[in-house]
Formats: sequence, structure tokens, C-alpha cells
Amino acid sequence: MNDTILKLDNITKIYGNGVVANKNVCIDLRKGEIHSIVGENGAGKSTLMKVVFGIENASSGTITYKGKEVHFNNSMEAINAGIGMVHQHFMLIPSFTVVQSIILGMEPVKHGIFIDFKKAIAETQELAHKYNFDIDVTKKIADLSVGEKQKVEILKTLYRNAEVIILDEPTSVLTPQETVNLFNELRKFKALGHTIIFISHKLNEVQQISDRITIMRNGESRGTYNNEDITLEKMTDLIIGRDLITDYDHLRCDFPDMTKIMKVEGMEVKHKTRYVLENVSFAVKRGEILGIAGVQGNGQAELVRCITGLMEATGGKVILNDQDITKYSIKNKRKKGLAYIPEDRMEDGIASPASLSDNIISTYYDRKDLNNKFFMVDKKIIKETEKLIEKFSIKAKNSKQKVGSLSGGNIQKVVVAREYNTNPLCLVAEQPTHGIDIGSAEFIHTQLIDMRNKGAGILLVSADLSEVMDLSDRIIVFYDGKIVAYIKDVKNVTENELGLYMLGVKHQTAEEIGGALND
Amino acid sequence: MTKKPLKKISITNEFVFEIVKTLISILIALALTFVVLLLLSDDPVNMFIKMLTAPLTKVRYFGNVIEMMIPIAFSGLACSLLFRTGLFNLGIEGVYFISGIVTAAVACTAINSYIFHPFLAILASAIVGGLLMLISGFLKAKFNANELVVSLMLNSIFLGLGLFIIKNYLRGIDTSAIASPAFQETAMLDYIFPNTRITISFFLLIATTIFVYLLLYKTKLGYTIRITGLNKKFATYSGMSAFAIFMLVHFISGFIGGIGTSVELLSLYGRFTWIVLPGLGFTGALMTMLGRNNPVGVVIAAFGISYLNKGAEVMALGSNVPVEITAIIQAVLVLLISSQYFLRRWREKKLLKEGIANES
Amino acid sequence: MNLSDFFNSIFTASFVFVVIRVSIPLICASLSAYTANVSGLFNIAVEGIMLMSALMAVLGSYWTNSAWLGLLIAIATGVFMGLTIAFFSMYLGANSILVGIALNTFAVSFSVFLLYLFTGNKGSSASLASKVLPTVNIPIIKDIPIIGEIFSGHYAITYITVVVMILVYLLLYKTPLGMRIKAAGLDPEAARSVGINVNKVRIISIMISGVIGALGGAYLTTGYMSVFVKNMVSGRGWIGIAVQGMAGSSFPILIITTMLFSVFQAFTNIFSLYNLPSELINIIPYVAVLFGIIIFSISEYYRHKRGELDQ
Repeated sequence: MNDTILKLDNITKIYGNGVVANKNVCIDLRKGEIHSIVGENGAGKSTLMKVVFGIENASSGTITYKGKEVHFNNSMEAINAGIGMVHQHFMLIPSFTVVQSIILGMEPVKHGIFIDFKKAIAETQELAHKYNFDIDVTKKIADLSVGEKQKVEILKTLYRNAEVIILDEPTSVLTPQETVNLFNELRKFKALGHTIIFISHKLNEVQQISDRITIMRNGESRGTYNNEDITLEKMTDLIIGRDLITDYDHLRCDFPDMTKIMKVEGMEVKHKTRYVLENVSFAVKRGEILGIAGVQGNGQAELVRCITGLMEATGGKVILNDQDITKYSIKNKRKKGLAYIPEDRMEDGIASPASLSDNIISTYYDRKDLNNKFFMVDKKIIKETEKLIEKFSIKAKNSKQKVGSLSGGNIQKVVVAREYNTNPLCLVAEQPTHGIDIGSAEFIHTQLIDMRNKGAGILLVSADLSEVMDLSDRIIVFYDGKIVAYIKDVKNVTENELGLYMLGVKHQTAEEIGGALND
Repeated sequence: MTKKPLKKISITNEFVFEIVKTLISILIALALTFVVLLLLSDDPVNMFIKMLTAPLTKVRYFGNVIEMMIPIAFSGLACSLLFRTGLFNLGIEGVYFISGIVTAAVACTAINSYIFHPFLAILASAIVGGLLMLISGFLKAKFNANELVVSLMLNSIFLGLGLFIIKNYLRGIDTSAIASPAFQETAMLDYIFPNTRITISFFLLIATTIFVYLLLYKTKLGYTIRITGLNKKFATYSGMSAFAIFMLVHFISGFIGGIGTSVELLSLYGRFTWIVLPGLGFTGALMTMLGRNNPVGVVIAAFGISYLNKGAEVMALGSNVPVEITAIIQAVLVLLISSQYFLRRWREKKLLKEGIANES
Repeated sequence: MNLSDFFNSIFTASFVFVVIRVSIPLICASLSAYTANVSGLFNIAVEGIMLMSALMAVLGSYWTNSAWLGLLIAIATGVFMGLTIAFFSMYLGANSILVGIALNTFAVSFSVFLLYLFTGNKGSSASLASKVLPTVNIPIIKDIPIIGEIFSGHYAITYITVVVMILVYLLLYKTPLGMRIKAAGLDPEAARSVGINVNKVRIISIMISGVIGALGGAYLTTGYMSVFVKNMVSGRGWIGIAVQGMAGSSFPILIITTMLFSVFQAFTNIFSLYNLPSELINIIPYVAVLFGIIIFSISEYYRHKRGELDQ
């Protein structure tokens, strides 16, 4: 069981826009082991797996599989070679049955033309049995639980004779019980000679299941360790770090009346039996930035959707300026003083073919000073736009330029400028500087602090720990849909400590967490 | 860099590109037509020239062009509002039919006023048109029902209902055909220009075009329509209410369609004679597409197509080439212009060059 | 007319015969829409394909002096039109619905164009000596009472259509290609992830769609009638699209709904005899489809309320 089945030698991947996703990554995988790759968002785990699975091409470096150098041009080649991948987002068709989903693309035939359903059912049933999957292969995908759907995805890879199975954050959609089941199955796979690559950021689970662990950070490997040779603290240490500390202290000033402008109480989102959000309570005060730290996928996105009105929670309240706005429409929430910078600026933050000015007024186009009796006053709108272009140093030809043709940083500035200009009581900023250049990012940070100084309460949701620590006055940490830590004194907390919470190693008491709402 | 006042210099590359693409498509369409003429006629060059210039030779011909253009322009305007909002509703067909019947109903009753009678007919037609469109509008706005299928179904349903009404309640006894009685004289619109059959419907069209233009580009509603059509999610996130927008757009669209039917009937027909869907709804969709959802573009497209049709008609009179040759032009034009990737690579190369030039 | 007269008319073998005769173009229309739409590439041009194919069947048999070759030419026309849709929407980025509308409008005028070119007449092709396909009197069966009356003596394409129907069912429900076509239509991403060439599969579907549409069109001019008449498809293509809209990807519902439409169409013959409003009867199937869509949309709406607002 000690021979290497897959070897990655100095894999480097640089994207067209200059982003270095992987840098000289070396990993060797031994046959029959469960090997975890851990890291936070942006560490390069997903990119690395895309390279292995043929979805992306490495810029340099080699992959050796079963002793031979290989280069997969697409995922079919990887699959045919015996590498299977279970993605985070399942690729299943709801109206198909389990059998159909498994055999699609590789159907057994009889008489040369017809699908041999008998054989298909027999084969898939046998496969399920062999791996102890208790599943009825004639059921429709739509009727399965999430855990069962994942089993189907795994069966798909096994049906194609996968020897190496890559699982990308498999437990993020499972209930605790389903996670236990999954781990039992993985051990069975191992016993049958399969090699498992387990990608995760949940260190407790990684510690339970892995033989060896590779830690990635900033596109590089920080070493491969035997499970028994490394502690959770040491792992956290290697995963979390702050490269750039920016001190914004000189920009901050205190706002005199720091009342709680927004309160979230007992927010809960439940999908069938799984809690996506559980009992989340906190308050945002005027004149402060409350940061939510956490690896993406732990419920933060759902929290933001519930607050902003894009999703209905199954329980809990959102109170803005002492009014219960939980069930308000998006328009009314905005009218009451809520503003929002969405995570996906291209999809949700702008209308790409529309002009800069059209985009920058979208949340207050009906303001009285921009309109006269019947028409919108173009002159005033242009003036307002130009005012904002100047204040935010937006690099554009003019107000009429199509906003989609601006650079990423400038597009984000348009979004921020717009929300800034609504003079909100509370601004929800989701990954506000994701994927943009440092100059624009810093500029946006200063604008956020400016808003904070003037009395807005800002809820900052970011997977970038540096950003959260640079900007926030108080911090809460999300893990697995719950608040696991509340940090009142940001100055004196280290990124390591936050990391322990983010990665599920540590957990504050209910009383300590209660401070998020009650302080 | 942003201190310059906004003048026409800011014609973006996009606009120019669209014009160029349209011109190239027209050239290709005409070239194909010429090839067909070569194969069919003994005198292709003259025929071709005749086709392109005939409408300009007689006032009456040019008048015909305007007459033909008016109903499809109205239909195009109605459709353009829907398409702009991102709604793929082809229900103008059915609405045209019922609105026409409403016009006929009013036009057949005796009202003793040359001004009020047609006005009432047009207004009634427009209101009914708007209300009918609200059916598919509501289903889409509230329940997100597939507006394409719903509108197609309603088209056929309205045709059936309409025929039933004509046969049983509005049947002209002075004719054996299935048609309404003759319209009252007071309802008919008068010809304005000598030698043509152009009535005030032309001016109504101009007025409607201006109205749609102002609505789309100058009002708050128009702003929300455009943004919703470009990115519905974004519009929702910004607080725009899709429901209200959809309902309003459907009503206005049907209203315009109703006007279009009405003026068509009162200008050129003496009674309601349609027994099948007149096909104006689909043609309107094509005009919208050719005119890029822009009201002025739609009218220009309607004019262009009508011009070509008239030219072909005149040419057909003096030859063995049937007027239906314009089907080729229209099809090629629509197919090429609606193809987003047509000439795309050429444009991308130019954009790249421009981008590099801008950086340096 | 009273109820007993009505029932007497419909519970006869000849009525069932008429229903079958009327149903064939509708079945072809539905199947044509179905085979394309099920792959995710929409064919809105069914009406236009049927019209052009009807004409080409006539012209084809006139040119080649053979009804069967004429049929082949009609089928080639259908395939060509299908490929046009595929080409413009998949490779040139046009909206497939607009392409379909354009083709429909084109077919209406162009068919008259060709008709005039070859007959000098814009109304019908009566002046052409076009051929018809034979009527088939099935030996043995034709002599069985009732059964024989119902099933024997139909035009050739009727039987071809039945065979095609079975083949389509077998293809989509029993073969790997069929499953892949369905996958491409239901979730192209998921299909691609298992190595299915979604584009190739869609092209195959629309070609089949074109063949079936052509069959329906040819039926009208090589049996049902023996000439081409302007606009003779009269909305059958649209009925096919409507039926497919209701049936989704369910073959049984498609056939049953189409037969329902056919029954109603056959009814109108009787109703017109008795002065009942055929136009109102004709719209019943459309009303049914409309209600089907409404009910479906409302149920989807309530299903989504407990989930995400933006899908």
C-alpha cells in the first residue's frame, strides 16, 4: 500500500489575468490512502484538482499517474484513466432514476442498439451492494436525500472504474449523521483498494478520516504530514496567515451615537433535516464595521440572502432601526435604509450592457431631485454620476460608457459608489474586494470606513481574513451555519485564534457568543 | 477625463457596429435576391433596379409604402416594449384580432360625428387590447408562466372567440363572406394626401413612436423596463418591482396594438373581413428584431420592409417574377441580424486593437 | 341536433377512421416539435417546415415523375430547414425562437413564390401533374368488420407515421442516444460532465424533427389532398407546438393530447353539419393547454415560495 499512484511535480498554474493559482505544488498520493488537502478559500485546492481532472491545463509541471506521465485535455480522459471527481455541486438530473444517472454516457447495450436496462440495474445494484450503499437504484433523483444524491455521484465514478476518487468539500451539504455514513463508506473504499482525495476546510473531520494531510496556502503546498504527526493547532497555523496588514486606524473616528441599527435574532434556515443556518443572532451598531469571518460555504451567503430579502428564512427576525423588516420586499428594505453590495458583481451588482450612469442610479432612480414631473432629468443624473466618478476615482471614458467594459476594480467602485450614495443606515458588504486589484481594494476600504465614520453600520462578510481583520471593529466567526465565536477586541486577537474557530477546531460558549447581540 | 460635455462624439463602437452589420446584411440579402433574379428573369439588372426604385417613381406607390408600413410598425412598437423588458410574448396576433372586432363593433354602430366616431373606435380598441394583454401579463408577472406558450394559446383562442362573435353577433347581411357589416361612413378616416390612402393613422404612428421613445428613454418606467430587460436579477436586487413593470408593459403594449389594428381597419378596410390571424403579430416581432428593440429602429425597419415589398410588387407586375421574392430578403435579413456572432470576431479584433491603443 | 344523433355519429367505425385520417398531420406536428424540443433546441418552425415540405412533395413528384422520390425531396427539405435552425442558433448565436419565426414567415411567402414559378398560379398546384402516394388496403385485415373499416384503407404516409411513432418512442426511451438527447434537454451541463456532445445530439434531434415535420406536410399533398394549396397547413404546426408545450418530455401525454385534438377536429365536421359553432369547439384544446400551463405555473410558484427568491 505504499506505492505512489499519483504524483504532482511542481505544478504551477497562472491564469490569463496574471493570478497565480498554484505555485510549484508537489504532492504524492499513495495507493489506498485517504489523503486530505486542506486550506481556506483561494488557497489553490480547487484549481489543483481542476488541473488533475483535466478541466484546466497546468502552466508548468508534470503529473505522473501509475508511473506514466499523463496530460489530460478534458475530464473524459481523466475519467477513462480511472480518476473520478465528486463535485460540490451535483450534476444530476431530477427526473432521471439512479440507474439512468449512473449509466448516462456509458450505457450497456443489447442487440447493438437498445439499452440493456436489466443489465444496468443488475450492475448498479451490485456496485451499490459491494460498497455498502443502501440505495434503491430505481428511485428518481428528485426523491433522494442530499446524502443519497452524493452516493449516486460517487457511484458514477465507481461505475467508471475510478481508482482515485476526488471529493470536493463533500460534507458541506450533509447532516452530521450523513457525514458519519460517508466516512464509513470511505473506509470501505480504502479497504477495497481505492485512493481518496478529500478536500476540506473542516479540520476536525480531516483529522478523523485522513491518513495523510497536505496543507495549502496561497497556491503553495506547506507540506504533507501524517495525520498522527500533526495537531489541529499546527494545521491552523500553516493554513491561516496574514500577508498584508493594513492599518486604517488613522482614518477611523468615533461616531457619538452608537445605537444598534440592525439586529438579527435567531435566524434559521432549514432544508429538510439540515440546518443551513442555525440560531444566528447578532447586532450591528451605527459607526462600526461588524465583520463576519469564515470559510465560504458555511452559511454566510444564506445569511446575507435572508437579510437582504432574496431568500426566506425558516425562522428568525431582522430588525432595522427598531422595525421588523424580516418579510419586507427588497424595495421596502432599501427604503428603510438597507443597502447591499452583492458578492457576484457581474451577475447581481450591475447590468453589464447598460451605461455607467444607468447603473449608478439603479437603487435611487426615483429620487425627487433627479426627476421632474414626467421625465427623468438627464442633466442632473449625469451631474450626479460625474460627482461620484470623481469621488471614487472611477476610470471611465464618460458617464455613458457601458459599465461591463470597465475593469473589475472600477466596476466594483461603481457598485460601492451607488450603495454609498443611498446614504444607508446599514450596509451589507459581501466579498467587497474579491478579485480586484490592490489599489481599488484599498480605495474601497477607505470608502467603507468613511461610511462607518459618518454613522452607517456596516456588516462585512468576507472570506479574506486580512480584510476582515483590517476593517472590523468587532468580529463574529461562522462555521457550519452557526456563530462559533464573537470577538469584541479585534486589536488583540490573532489570525491563528480566528483560524481555530474558522476551521472548526474551537468553539466559544453560548454566553460568549451571546455578546454578539447583547453587547 | 470626464469633464468633457456629452456630445455626439460618444457614439460608441457598438452603435456604429450595429449599423455596419445591418448594412452588410442588407447587401448580402440584396445580392442573393439579385442572383435569384439572374436565374429567373431575362432582364435581371433592370428588374433589380426597378425593385429598388419603383416606390419613388409615383406618389401613389410611395403612399402605398406608407400605408403598408403603418400596421406593422404599430405591431413592432407593441412588440418592442415587450422584448425590451425581456418578455418573449407573441400575443399581439390574437389581440390584433379581437381589437379589430371591437373597432368593427363601434364602427358599425351609428354615431353622428366624424371626429368622435373614429376616436371612440380607436380608444375602445386600444383599451380592450391592453386588457387582453394583461391576461398573459398577469400570468407571467405573478406565476412566471411561460409567456411564449401562453401567448400562442391565447392567439388561437382569441381567433376562435373572435370568429364566433363575428358569425353570430356582428355578421354583415349584405355579403356572403364571413365579415362584419360595412363600417359607418362617420367612422372611416379620411385620406389626407392626394393620390394616396394615407390617413391620420400616419400621424398617430409618429405620435406613438415618440411616445414609446420618450417612455423608454426618458421616464422612470422606461428606465426600469430597460434595466429589467438587461438583467432581471440586478433590477430585483436594486428594488425594482418586476410585477408592476410586467403588468404595465403588457397593458401599454396591447394598447398600442389596439390602436394599430383600429387605424388599419378604419383607413383601408370597409368592414372587418379577417377570418384568419392577419400575421401582423409575427411580422411585428421581426420588425422589433430588425430595429433592435428601438422604437425609431422599428419604424425604419417597417418602412424598409414595406419599401422593398412595394418595389417587388411593382416589379412583379411587369415580369414573371412573383412579389414573394421579398421573402428571401426578409428571411436573410432577419437571420443575419439576429445572429449575435455574425461578424463578432471581426469586431473583437477591432476592440482589442482599440483597447491596446487606449492603454498606451 | 340532439344528443342521440350526435352519439350515433361518433360511435361508428367511419368516425374513428376519420379521426385517424385527421390525426396524422397533427401527430407529425407534435412529434416534430417533441423530438426537437426534448433535446433543448426549440423548433418553432414546424408550421413552416410542413408547408414547404407539402409543396416540395408536389414539385418533387412532378419533377421526378415518382411520388416516392417526391416524398424523399420533401423530407430533404425538412431536414434542411431543421439544420438551418441549428446552424443559426447554435453557431451564429441567434435566438432559436426568432429563427423559427423567420422561417415560418419565409415559408408562407416562399411557398407561394415557388408555386407561382412552377405553375403560374398563386393559389394551388392543380395544374401540375403531381403524383399521390397509394392508399393501402391491408390484405386480410381489410375484410374484418369494424377493425378493417378503421385500420385499413388509409394513405401510405399514415402507416409510415405509425411506424415513425414507434421508432421515436423506442429511440427516446430505449436507446443510449435517446437518453442522451433527453439529458441534453434537461440539463446540458450535467450531460457534458459525462462526456455527451450536446451540440451533436441536438443536431441529430432537429434533423429527425425535420423529417417528421416533412412527413406531415407531404401527407397533406400526397393523399389527404392531391394538390398544394396556399397556406394549407392551417395552424396544424402550431397545434403540435401547443401539445408539446403541455406534454413536456412525456411521450404518452403527447400522443394522447394530440389524439384529443384530432377527435375535436373530427367533431367539427359533424358540428358544422348541425350548425354548431366549430370555431368554439376548435379552441377547446387550446383552452385545455392554457389551463394546463396555468396550473403548472401556479404549482411551481407555491413550490418556490419556500425556497430562494431568485431561482
